[in-house]
Formats: sequence, C-alpha cells, structure tokens
Amino acid sequence: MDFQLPPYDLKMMLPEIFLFLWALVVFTFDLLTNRKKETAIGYLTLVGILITGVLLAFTGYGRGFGNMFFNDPMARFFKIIFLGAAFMAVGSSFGILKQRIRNHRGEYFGLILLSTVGMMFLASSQELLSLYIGLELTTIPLFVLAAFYKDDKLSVEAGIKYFIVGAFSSALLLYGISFLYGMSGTTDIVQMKINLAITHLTFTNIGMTLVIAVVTMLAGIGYKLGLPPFHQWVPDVYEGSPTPVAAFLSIGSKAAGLVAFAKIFVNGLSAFHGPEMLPNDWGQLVALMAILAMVLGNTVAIWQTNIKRMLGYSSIAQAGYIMIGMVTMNVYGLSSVAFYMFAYMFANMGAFAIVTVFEDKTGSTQIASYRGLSKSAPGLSLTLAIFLLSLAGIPPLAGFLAKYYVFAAAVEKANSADSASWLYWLVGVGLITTVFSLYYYANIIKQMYFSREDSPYKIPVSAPAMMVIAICLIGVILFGVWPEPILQFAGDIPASFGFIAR
Amino acid sequence: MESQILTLVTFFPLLGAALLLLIPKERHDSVKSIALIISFITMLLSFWLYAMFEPLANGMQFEINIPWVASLGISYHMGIDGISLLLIVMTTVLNVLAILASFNSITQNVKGYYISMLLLATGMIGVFCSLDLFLFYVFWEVMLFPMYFIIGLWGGVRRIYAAIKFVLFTMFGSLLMLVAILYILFEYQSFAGEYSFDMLKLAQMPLGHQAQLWLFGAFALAFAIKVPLWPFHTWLPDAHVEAPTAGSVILAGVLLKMGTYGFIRICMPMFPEATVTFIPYISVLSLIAIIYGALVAMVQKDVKSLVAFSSVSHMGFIMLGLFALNLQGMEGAVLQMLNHGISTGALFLLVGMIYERRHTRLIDQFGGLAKVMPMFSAVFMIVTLSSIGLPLTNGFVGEFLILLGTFKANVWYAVIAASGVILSACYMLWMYQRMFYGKITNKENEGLKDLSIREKIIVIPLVLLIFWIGVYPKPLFDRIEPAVKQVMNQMGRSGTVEVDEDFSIKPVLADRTAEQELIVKAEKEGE
Amino acid sequence: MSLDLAIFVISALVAVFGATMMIFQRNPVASVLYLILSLVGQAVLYVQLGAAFVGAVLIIVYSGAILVLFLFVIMMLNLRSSADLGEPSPPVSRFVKYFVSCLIFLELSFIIRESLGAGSTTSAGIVTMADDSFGSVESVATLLFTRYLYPFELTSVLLLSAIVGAVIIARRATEDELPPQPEKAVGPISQKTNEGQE
Repeated sequence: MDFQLPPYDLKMMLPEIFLFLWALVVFTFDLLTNRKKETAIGYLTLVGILITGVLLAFTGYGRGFGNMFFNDPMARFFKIIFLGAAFMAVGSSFGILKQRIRNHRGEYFGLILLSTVGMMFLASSQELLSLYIGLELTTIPLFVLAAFYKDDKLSVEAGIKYFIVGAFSSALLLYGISFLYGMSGTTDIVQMKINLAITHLTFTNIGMTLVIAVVTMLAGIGYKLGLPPFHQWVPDVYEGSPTPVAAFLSIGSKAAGLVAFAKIFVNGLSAFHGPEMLPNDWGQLVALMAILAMVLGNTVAIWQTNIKRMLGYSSIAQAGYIMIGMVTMNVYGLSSVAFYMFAYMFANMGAFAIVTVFEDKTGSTQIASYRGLSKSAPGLSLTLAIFLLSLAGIPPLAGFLAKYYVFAAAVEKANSADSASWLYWLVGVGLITTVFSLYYYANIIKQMYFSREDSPYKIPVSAPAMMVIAICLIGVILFGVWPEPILQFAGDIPASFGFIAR
Repeated sequence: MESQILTLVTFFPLLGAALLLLIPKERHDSVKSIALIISFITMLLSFWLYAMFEPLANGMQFEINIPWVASLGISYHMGIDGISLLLIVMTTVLNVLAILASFNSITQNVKGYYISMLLLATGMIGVFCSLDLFLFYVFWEVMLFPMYFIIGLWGGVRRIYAAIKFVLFTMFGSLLMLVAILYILFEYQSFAGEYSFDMLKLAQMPLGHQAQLWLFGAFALAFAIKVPLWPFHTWLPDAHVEAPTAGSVILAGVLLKMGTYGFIRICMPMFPEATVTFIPYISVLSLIAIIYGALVAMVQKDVKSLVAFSSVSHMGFIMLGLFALNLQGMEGAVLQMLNHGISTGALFLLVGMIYERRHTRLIDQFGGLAKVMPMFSAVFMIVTLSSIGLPLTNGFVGEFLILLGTFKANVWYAVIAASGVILSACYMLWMYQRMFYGKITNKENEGLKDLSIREKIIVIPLVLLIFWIGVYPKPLFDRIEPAVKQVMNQMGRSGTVEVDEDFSIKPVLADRTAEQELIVKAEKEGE
Repeated sequence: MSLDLAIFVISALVAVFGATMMIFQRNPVASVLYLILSLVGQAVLYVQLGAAFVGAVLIIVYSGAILVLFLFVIMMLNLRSSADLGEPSPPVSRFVKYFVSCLIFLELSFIIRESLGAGSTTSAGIVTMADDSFGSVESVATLLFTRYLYPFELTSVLLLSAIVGAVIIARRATEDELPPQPEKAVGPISQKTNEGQE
C-alpha cells in the first residue's frame, strides 16, 4: 500500500510550535530552579509570548495538511487577540504568584501557554476534527487554571463547575459535529458546505437531522461563550477562579468560541441562514440567544456586589453584542466581530488587571471596597474608570467604535434586505441594554469618586502589572481615536469567508 | 495656523487639561490660575475667530475636511456658520466666567474639577464645530461624563441621584440618535454609492416621507431631552439644583443649546418634510413647556430651582421660534439661544454668589438685600429684566422676533406664548421683590458683603453684553441671517417643502400635479 | 444470512438487556458489570457492520479501561447500594433526566426512520460511504497517519496538557508550599462562604 502524507508546510505553524516548545521550556525551567524563581518564570513566559508574536508577524497566509491548517486573515487576527490576552493575563499574575500560588508556578504559566496554543491551532483549523481538538486543548488547561487555588473552596468549585460544563458542552458539540459528518461525509468545512448544499438541493429538505445538529452545536458553543440559556456557570467560575485566569477566560476562551462559531456556522452552514431556509435557519435562534444575553447580562449585573461577578455578567452581555455581528452575515459582520473582540480585549483585560492588583493588596473583590479609591489611588481609579467607560461604549474610546461597528453591520444588512428587518430589533435591544450597562459600570465609578470618605487602601502596582495596565490604556484610547489600521486588517476577514462587497 | 483655527479652538482646552494633569494636586493656586489662563486664551482664540469670520457671507467658513476612519466613511470635518460662531464665542466666554466663579466654592479635589471643566469645553466647542455626523456624536458624548462628574462630585445633597439621572436620560436619547445616524449612513450609501457622514452632503439626499418621520423622531427625541422639551425635562431641575454654580452655568448656558442647535443643524436640513409635519406637535409641546415652566417656577421656594424651571419655559420659546420656520422666528430663536445663555448664566452666577455668603437658596430666608448689597441688587435687577425681556435688554430683541415669527405662522400659538411672557414677568419680579425689598427680616442677612472685585469682573461683561445686544444687535444678525437662510435653502432643496420670497417654509401642496411641479421647478431654476 | 441475523438478534438483545438491567440494579457494582455486558453486545454489532476498529475500541477502551476505573472508584468509596449515594435527586432534576432521555430517544428513532424511509442509501442527507475496507483497522490507521496526521499529533499536545493538569490537581501540597495564612477577605460574600466551610 502506498502511503502518502498530504502536503504540509511546518513553517506555516511555526508560531504555534514555538509556543508549545516554550511551554515545555517554562515547565523545565521551574524544575531546574527548584521552583524558587517566580518572577523569572513570569518574565520568561512574557518573552515567549512576545517572540511568538514576532514569528506570527512573519508567517504569511497559506495552507498546510490539505485544508486542515489554514492561515487566513481571521486566523491571524484572532491569534493576535489570543497572544494579547495571554500576555496580559501573565503580566497581571505576578502578584498572586507571590502570595497565593506557592507551588506549580511553572505549570501555571505553562498551562496558560498551552491553552493559547490550543486557541491558535483552533483559529487555523479548517476542518471539524482539528477544530474540536483545538477547542479541547483550549479548555482543558483552563479547567485546571480555574481550580488553581487548591486551598480555596470557591476556586475548586469554579474548577469543577467549569470542568463539568466544559465537558458536557464539548460532548454536545461533538455530537452535532458527528451529525454534520454523517450528512456530508467529510470533516472539511468548505467541502462540507458544498456537500450539504448539494444534498439539500437534491432532496429539497435536509430535514430534522440538520436541525438537531444545529441545536446541539449551538448549545455546545453557547456554553463556551456563556450565551443564555447556557450561561449559569459564568459568574461562579469568574468569581472563584484566580482573577487573571478569569480575565483570560473572558477574552481568550470567548474569542476561541467565536472562531469556532464562525468556522462552523458562518462558513460551514452559511447556506442555512435566512428566512427562506426555515426551519433550518440558525440565524434567528442565535439572535434570540443574543437578545437574552444582552437583557439578562445587563440587568443582572446591576444587582451584583462582587466586581468579578459583575464583570462575569458584563461578559455575558458583551457576548450578546458580539453575536449581533455574527448573525449579520454580510461584508461587515465578521470584521465587526473581530474589531469588537480586539477593543474588548484591552478594556476587559485592563479592568481585570486593576481588579487583580486591588485584590492582591486588599484581598477583596467587593464593589463596596472600592469606595473612595479615587483619593488614595487617583491614577488607578481614573484608569479603571476609562476601562469601564470603554466597556460601556462611550466615545472616543475603542469600545464605542466597536459597538458602533457591530450595530452598523446589522443596520446595513437590515436596510439592504426586507427579510432581514428583524435585525432592527436586535439593534434596538442592544441600544436599550447599553443604557442599563452604563448604570452598573457607572456604579463603580460612583463608588470610587463620589464617596466623601477616604479609602484606607494604598495600592502598590508591580512593574509587569503596570505595563499591562499601560498597554490596555493606550489600546483603549489609541484605537478609539485611530482605529484605521485595525479596521483595515479586520476588513480582510469577511472576504475569506466569501462575503464580497457589493 | 489659520486653516486649523477650529481645531485649535476645540482642542486647546484639552491641551490645558493634559497640562493640569502634570501639576501636583496640592498646588490649588497654580491649578486654578492655569485653568483660568487656558480658558482665557481659548476665549481670545474664539474672539479671533469672530474677527476673522466674514459676516453676510454664505456657506461654511474655516472648513477642515480630513479623512479620519476612511473605511467607515468618517472624516474630521469641521466648519462654522454664523450660528455656530456665536455659540462658540458664548461657550468660551461662559467657560471663563464659570471657572472664575468656582475659585472659592470648589475646595475638594480641585485639580479634577478644573480638568473636567476644560474637557467639557472641548466637547461643547466640538459639537458646535463639527460638520461630520459621527464627529458630532463623539463630541456630544464626550461632554457627558465631565458633566456627570461635575454634578456628582461637587454637587449638593442629592448629587449622585441627579448625576445618574442626567447621564441615563442623555444616554438614552443619544443612542436613539446613533441608530438614526447608522440608518442615514446606509441610505446615503445606496443613494450616492459611498459612505459619508458629511452633514452638508447628507442634507442633499432625498428621503422617503416615512423614513424622514422615523429619523426625525429619533434625532428629535435626543435633542428634545437635551433642550429639554416638556415632558422630557425632569432631569433638568434635579441637575441644576444639585450642580455646583459653574456646572449650572454651563448646563443652562451651553448644554441646553446643543439640543436646539441639533434641531437647526441636523433635523431641519436633513428631514425638511418631517419637520413640517412635526410643527404642530413640537409647537404644542413648546407651549406647554412655556406655561408649565412658568407656573412651576412661580411656586418654587428655592431660587435655583426657580431659575431652572424658568429655563424650561425659555427653552420652550426658543423651540417655538425655531418651528415657526420663518426668518423672523428662527433668527429670534438663534439670538434667544445666546440671550438665554447670558441671562440665565448670569442668574445662576448671582445665585451662586449669594449662596456662598449665606449657604442657603431659599427665597424666604432673604428679604431686604437691596439695603446691604446695593451693587449686587442692581446687577440682579438688570439680569432679571433681561430674562423677562424688557426693551433695551437682549431678551426683548429675541422674544419679540420669536413672537413676531410665531404670529406669522400661527396666531393662536403667538397669543398663548405671549401669556407666557407675562407669567415670566410675574414670577421673576415676585421673586426679586421677596428677596431684595422690604425690611431685613433675617439677622444673618445684615452683615452681608457686597460684590468683591473678582465677582465684579465676572458680572460686568455679562451686563455689558445684555445691553449691547439689547441696543445694537445688528452685528449678530449680520452673522445669523445668512446662516438661517442657508438652513432654509437646504430645506427647500429637497423639493418637498418650498421657501417663499420672504423666507418662510411651506409644504409643497400635495394635490399639485406633476406638470405644475415641473413648472415650479423651472421657475426656481430660472431664478 | 440466517446466521448473520441470529448473531444480530442475540447481540442486540444482549445489549438492550444489559442496558436495562444496568438502570434497574440497586447495587452499583452489578450496575457497572451489566453496562460492560451491554457494551460487549454493542461491540459485536459494530464488528458485524464491518467496523472492526470501533468494536475493538469499545471493548478495549470502554469496558477494559474506563469501566474498570469506575469499579475501582466504586469499591474505594465502598458503595454497597444506591442508598450510599446520598439523598435521592429532587423531582425537578429527575424530570430533566427523563425529559432529556425521551428527547434523545425520539431524536434517534426519527433519524433511523428517516434513513430507512427511502429504502436506498440516502434520504435524510445521510451519505453512505460504500467501501469494503471502510472501518477496518487498516484503513483507519492509514487515515490516521496520513490524512488526519495533523489532528492526531495535536491530540498528543492535548494529552500532555491533561496529564500536567491531572498532576497538579491530584498532588497534595507539601508544608513549605502552602501559602501563608492569607489576610481574610473583607467582603460579606467571602466571609459567608468561609463560615460555610466550618
């Protein structure tokens, strides 16, 4: 028998391979130094992420292993987000390493890197099997990271909860994928798209099988993204996990889920979107989830007293806004999603970094403990206020442009086709809930600024945390005022999904 | 330098705010003086702008148009006409006075306060300068949060409630505006084949009647909340009463004008047909605001909330004048926007001065102030009369023109509005009488000091302005008239409404046949 | 033909019988044993369908490894009967279980009906892969090491991270590695949970 490997090009996946090897280096370094050099490991990890970023910059577009590995604009864009999220999560972890994590420091950083490797493979996969494995590689290290405070019941609870939910959702996703494979006979997404269309045209109705596949996969990815009704784990896990891990979850894991969604639904099932395809249409189902996410996330967040839980609910709501861009399915849809995620990364990682720094000093994550912080730590308060305002979408910060772009994409679609006019409702709900969101974001600003009493806390900021906060601050302001390069980069994404400007 | 003067005027305060960040917060005096100098230079720049502005000329001046976010069609497009020019000058002047007036009253977190004031100035000037819808929106939102902080941090007892109410109301309106902006963008794209937020270009786009109604509604709601028009006014008394003096001055003087300015700059040129359709509704709401504001003002015990409700009433006048849609009404309304800024701003400043002395604003705590504070009483009298609209003061010119325009448009509206003038005389003079005449009933009032030099410097320019506009408003009209005519021409361009010889707007009659339409068009082109 | 049929009927009955008995057994150990029986029945079915690899995997991995692990756990926890498992689950969650089971049953019977419906190879969009070697160990291996080499290699990274994670979770911290007694959190929620721990 003649065995032949598909053509492959390892240069294509050089950043991923390098980062994986670097994770091993981090593990080994920790052992060789007798687990004593916590700061050095942290810096080592940061350097690794930076080098990967440089390698990524020199890796062009292209394919490898048949169609399985595909560097398209979306993959590159999201890899930047993953690396950015990992960089900032690692940068803000230095405090907890000194205080709470006394062992397995190398593993802590190494697992973050491994999870990032999974995200990067996921972003490049153009095939359901490797996509699924990439998703697993993303989440399995995160289960462990969530439970990293082994002496803290909340953290262990978060880990177990996240593990059960994660395993369950992966199983659902895999179940749906098996249906898709059964119907199309291939795991290659582009081929699957063609096969499904042919089958659909031949038999005029693919029928309930596709509905089952869509529903189970939506549930699976819905869990990963924290979209209602699959969101219950989000606030608990965010509250219990170490804060930098929660931050990494909210950006990295969410972006990974978005990529998986885009690949399976926006690309693979693109034919089954729109009212003429009822009941196979997944668009309105997702729109419903997005509405639920925005309403539920933004209203429940108002009553939270713990800032990590509040940010958890806020991330549910933000997922809702992002899904508006996802269901839009036009030239702007995916690029608005990418830009949103990019802007959201800076604001959210920045906010979490400050929450981490605050927690390192005070041990508290209660919103009430931020009372009067503007007097004892004016710089930190101002920065947190800016991040929160960006999350709320106040111009001229990046978060505003992101929200604007998502809404613009939806309005364009709704305006161009009568059948898509339900998107107006989506935009309407988005706008109204934005006002709600302003309330709870402003509530923290109110605690920090409007209280007449002084905060007892002087918050020291370590150099790496300072660097993370500064990067986020610059990102939030710079890309609000000068978004052009990022917008152009993100503008390339829809073309590789077959959305061409009219 | 000259081509970028609008950029300079707009962002100079921002530069100043950045400079203030560098100064240690303990050095209150240097913070104050730098803030004052920055705002003063901004004012001089705006005077320079005024001097270079060519009166009686058509079109926008000092235009700047640079692509900003090209992939979304957003450009940095600025330019001013007479209306914006005067509002900018008023903004910078009031900003100097407000900063000067805060020297003693603000004692906590001084640095943050002046930074907020300067940021606010950038936002306000930017709104008046921008000709790009997106830019307009950005500036519109930028000034929201400094104001939130000014009310919430340095305000009175219920300051947090007032601040949050202010933000949520405004935010709600502006988000509706955002949807409308998005919709217009894509309408324009299908009309012209390119993305643009350029207000001048957008005004040339024909829109269907239904679409116009919705879009007008969305913009109008955002602006009406800002004006505020009855029944969207409920945030205003809270915000005014709780805000520190300077905050009230800026709020009443400039922020409310952004609402009416939005109507002139965006609603009218872009949606002329809907504007005509909405005349009766907005006029009736304005009339309700005039009467309601006046009646509620009459029963207020607190001077500051009295002035706040009088603002509701006066803003009703301005809206009525605008929606008379003729030259007199609109010119009057624009002038009245300035007048209201000057006289209400002055009233708030004066109330702030007496509050600093007595730490109360309740009318019945005063009485006979004229004996101990003659200078203060005289100035207060002048401002009160200007607010009522006595001849020779600025208020008269504006209100007279508004009533004249309204009379031409609809007699009954004018009659009801005129009764509002009488009511305003009632409550203002009654308040004045209770505060300043009679015997000194309260012992604490006996030793009050008259105006200090700093306070004199604050009030004298305003008093001069009151008389100058009252006696010789021609230079202002030279700048307002071409701008108003231009707005009306923009409205007429769409063909759904027409502008007659003495500049008043009428809807094109629906039963006119296509043939007649052509004739009318040919006539117009012949002109 | 008849032998084929006989094998099918017997192994199918064994599989269904094992699954049913597994549910109704009150002793967890017996329950697991019945599950193994059911899996063996299923494995025979797979082999009969030509999917020898899947059948082998089912026996080696499921009955051989996973269920034996189950037995270990059950015996270590010394569970004698279902009473040792603690409180019975509340009616709501029991309802959810029944509901989901019914849903899956309906779903599967639907798909089977769809695929039988037209009598031929495809109707519900189910594309059959008519190839004799399909499902054999050899063809699976060929695919795994050629076409699907990339996901296969990716799995090794996945396994590595799972091993590292398992070690971290399972390892007991030594005395010097324990964090110093942390300053107690200020907020009400964390205080509450601390009380709950006592």
